[in-house]
Amino acid sequence: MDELIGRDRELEAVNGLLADVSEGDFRLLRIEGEPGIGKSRLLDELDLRADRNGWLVLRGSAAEFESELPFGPVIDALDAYLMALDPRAIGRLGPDTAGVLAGVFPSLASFRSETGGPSIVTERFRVHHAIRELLERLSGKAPLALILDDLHWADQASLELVGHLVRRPPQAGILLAFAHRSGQLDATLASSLAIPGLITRIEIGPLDLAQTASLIGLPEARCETVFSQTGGNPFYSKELLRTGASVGSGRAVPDTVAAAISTEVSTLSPDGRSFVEAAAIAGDPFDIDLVDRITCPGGDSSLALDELNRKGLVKPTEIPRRFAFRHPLVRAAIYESIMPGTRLANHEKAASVLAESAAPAGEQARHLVLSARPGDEESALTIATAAAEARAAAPDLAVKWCDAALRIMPEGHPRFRLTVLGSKASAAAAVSRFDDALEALEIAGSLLPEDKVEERVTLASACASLEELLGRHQAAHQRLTGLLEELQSRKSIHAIEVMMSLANDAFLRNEFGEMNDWSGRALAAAREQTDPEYLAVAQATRALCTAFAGPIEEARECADAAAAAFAGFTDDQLDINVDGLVRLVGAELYLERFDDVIEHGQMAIEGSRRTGQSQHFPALYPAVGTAASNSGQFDLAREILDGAIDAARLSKNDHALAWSLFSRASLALREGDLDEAERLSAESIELVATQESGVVKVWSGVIRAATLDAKGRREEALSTLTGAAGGEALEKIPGSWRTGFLALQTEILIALRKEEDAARVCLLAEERATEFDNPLARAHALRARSSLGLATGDTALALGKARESVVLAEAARAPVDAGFARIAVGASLAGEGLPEEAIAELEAALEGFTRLGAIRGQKLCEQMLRGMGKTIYRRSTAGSGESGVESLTQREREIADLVVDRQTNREIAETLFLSQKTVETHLRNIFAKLGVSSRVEVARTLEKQSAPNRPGQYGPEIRVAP
Amino acid sequence: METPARVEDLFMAQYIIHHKHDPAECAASMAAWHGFSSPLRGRTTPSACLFGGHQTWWRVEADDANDALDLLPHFVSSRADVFRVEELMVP
Repeated sequence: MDELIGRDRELEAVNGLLADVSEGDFRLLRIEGEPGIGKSRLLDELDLRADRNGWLVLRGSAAEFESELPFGPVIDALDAYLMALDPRAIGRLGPDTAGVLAGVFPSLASFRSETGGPSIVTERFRVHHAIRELLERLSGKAPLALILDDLHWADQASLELVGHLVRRPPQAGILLAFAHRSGQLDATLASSLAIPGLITRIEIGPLDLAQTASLIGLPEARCETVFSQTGGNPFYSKELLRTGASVGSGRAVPDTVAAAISTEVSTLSPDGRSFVEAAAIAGDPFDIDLVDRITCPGGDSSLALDELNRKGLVKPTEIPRRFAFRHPLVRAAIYESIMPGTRLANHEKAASVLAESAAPAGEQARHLVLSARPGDEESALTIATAAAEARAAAPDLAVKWCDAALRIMPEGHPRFRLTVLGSKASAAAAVSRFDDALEALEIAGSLLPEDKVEERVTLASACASLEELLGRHQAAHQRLTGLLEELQSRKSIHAIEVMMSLANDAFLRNEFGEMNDWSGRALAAAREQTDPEYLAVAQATRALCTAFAGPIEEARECADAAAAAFAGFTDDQLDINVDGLVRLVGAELYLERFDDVIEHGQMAIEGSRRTGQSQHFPALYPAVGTAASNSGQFDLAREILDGAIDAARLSKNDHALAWSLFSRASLALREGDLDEAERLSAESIELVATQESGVVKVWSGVIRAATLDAKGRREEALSTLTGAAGGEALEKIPGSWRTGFLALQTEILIALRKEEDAARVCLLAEERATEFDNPLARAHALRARSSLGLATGDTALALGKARESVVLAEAARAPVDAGFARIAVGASLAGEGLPEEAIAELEAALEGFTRLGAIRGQKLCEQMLRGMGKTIYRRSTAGSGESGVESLTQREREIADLVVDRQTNREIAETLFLSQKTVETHLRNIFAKLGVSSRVEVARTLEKQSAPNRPGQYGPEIRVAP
Repeated sequence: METPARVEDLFMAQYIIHHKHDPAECAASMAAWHGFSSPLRGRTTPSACLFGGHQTWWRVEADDANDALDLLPHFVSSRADVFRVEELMVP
């Protein structure tokens, strides 16, 4: 490697980063500069220094003419290393993560599973989560440097991954270093890099005269011409010196360098020239076997390779049969200089060679799109296959390849065109290119014969959904009503489907009356059919609509019936009717059946994954996350809702993003992380600011109001709440959930000393709770009444209502709400002059909040208890024996489990990518937390904890006779 | 300083390690060395990969055959045979 000249300041920054990451921190290094300025050379230096320090260094690069391969530079960096790992180490990541990774890395193909891969475009975040976890594991033994060069040429999937790692940094000693040309980084990624503290940015400038002279080994006086022509660009300086070219007037340096490289190529022997041109087509780096087969099938081109190597046009890589060009600019210059006919023929040959060797469709497609003749059916099929395979990771690329496949396919072939247009629409919608998706579906619709009623109905519903997303509500409505008019019978299954779509259309517009009307008609028609699947879907739709707009008894009946029907369906039936299951989940959420929401929601998520129906996720994830949040399952809720946010950000779908953000803000409120709730709710409300109305806008507003209230900004909270939800009566909030926000409004008004207004709103809450009789809603109304009683001095009433509220919240399995109701009980008892009982109640509430990890409730209890003269001792997280098992970190638990499996420290280290020393440190901590002193005791403690019948806890103690 | 009991204890045993991989494993057999600490890294050794042979040989000194293999990352050592050798005067 050449000496690095003139980069002392940059190396100082690199050394600082190496030191930070050695401490176990994640850091990001962004290197930018013009072509040839020395970005890769600085990365070489980073690579060398990290490697010398014992780091794991994995390095990949994007390439100019291969920028379409999903995760190209990431695969380049990691794939070979992953192949070299013990498969058991990958297996330890778990089947889901390993399955997802298998969809990205060819070397992990053996971990592919039917359900593990991210088959759905909107679930690309699962790949990002899996890769982040993988990187964390790989950095277990020593710090990891992941180096990605030439990111300005990177594919969309790689750029999204880098963006993800910036937003959700790995919790490990990892340095992600990447280089790109100035001003050529993807705009979305560039904007996400503005995070202070995490990112070090190095802009590499030109060398001065003395440095340039030192670089090219000439005295300064003889270097002036080169320096004046290249401005101190190291690569250009060396190229001009190498070829002896000089820059003519009016000519740019890159053009001169390109011309000089072409001249260099022209001096090659015919075989050498032919080989280098084929190599420029094959890739950078390139495998000599592929180039051999492009140039002279069956022949030996080692002499040509020797010539190129001798002249320095190509250089060996660390992999023996793989070579790289001297610089990407060399390859670009050669590629551009190839005569069009030769270029076409070489791409054609490359595609043919790759097809013969059964290379992945994506590798073939990048040559076929440049060389296939119109009407080449086989090529069109390969490109369409590549598009389908790329859809999950790189939807934009999939759209491009779908267009190419449609262009190359001969006239006719309507089935092929329908499939590819559907694939294109799905990919385009996933990145919010709704216009493109709609256009593809409309073309598909024009290809459908009149008698294909089922397909036409499905297409029209999909088009209407896209029109809704484009804000063309009237057009969507007209499309659906027009279709209904066309159908011969209003009672046919197709008519039922259209009516259910119309109900959904009304829901999105927040038109609950209309929604109820269409769902009622659909159900009546379905009852006249004998098809149990249509009946179940219509019942689920009706359950959702009536849970929103009443009557709630009918909602319960329909939800019960639909749930029973779905329980009896086979997997195939569930997959076909997954939209019905999604509606059932919505209904169950509004009926406060949180356990059912989680169970059916997860079934619907799996079904949607299996059938590729990504349109359900924006509603499903928030529903399941909200149910988990309400029932105190914060970890599950966080995992689901963070995933929902990542998915929505990737799809650039503001509607879905706002939905996920307010749901996540609501969770943060329950947990007591008010700053997080503030940040998330502010972003959510900003996203919907320009919308006229709609269910997401309403919910963004009311969650924002709840956040403002929690932050003590009560006037603002009140105006935000009533402004978003249609005035004091909050009529835009559907179903029994309105009660909770009427109760919130009551509390705000009490805090603002507007007791009369509070009394009026409290009455509204009680009326709504009676009309939509759900336990949690009633608990909210009762708590509002209790608060009002306290505010007006009627402590006896306050106590009675608060106690009822506790019972109902517990019946609804809503532990946070039950905790706040207990606080109301405590306050009422104190007001009644019963301090001991009040303290007992508050201590019970505190214990509940502590167990849940709900900080806000915890702090409130502690504050009140201190006010009553109690000293608060915070419980330590660590314990001993069985309770200590719960205090183990995830990594400690993994190690403890391997101890149970009787693995040695060395085996554990290998399995978990850790050093033996780290394993020993973890084991010491595990011993301390469990209060044990040997591995045997660790195993015994864990085995005891996982035993199904623990004495005295879950069942009778069984004594075994000696 | 303790004197070795036998003359041969002055010299470490020498081993030839013979590693083979499939052509498709060539990249992995190189990548396996990343992050692996070994005195063999950064040194040249005979290899037939460039000519399609996909075999590599190392001559190392080690206490025993297992220690010799420990100089290689798992992926490489698990595809290797190790032989104790000594210099031979060819008649």
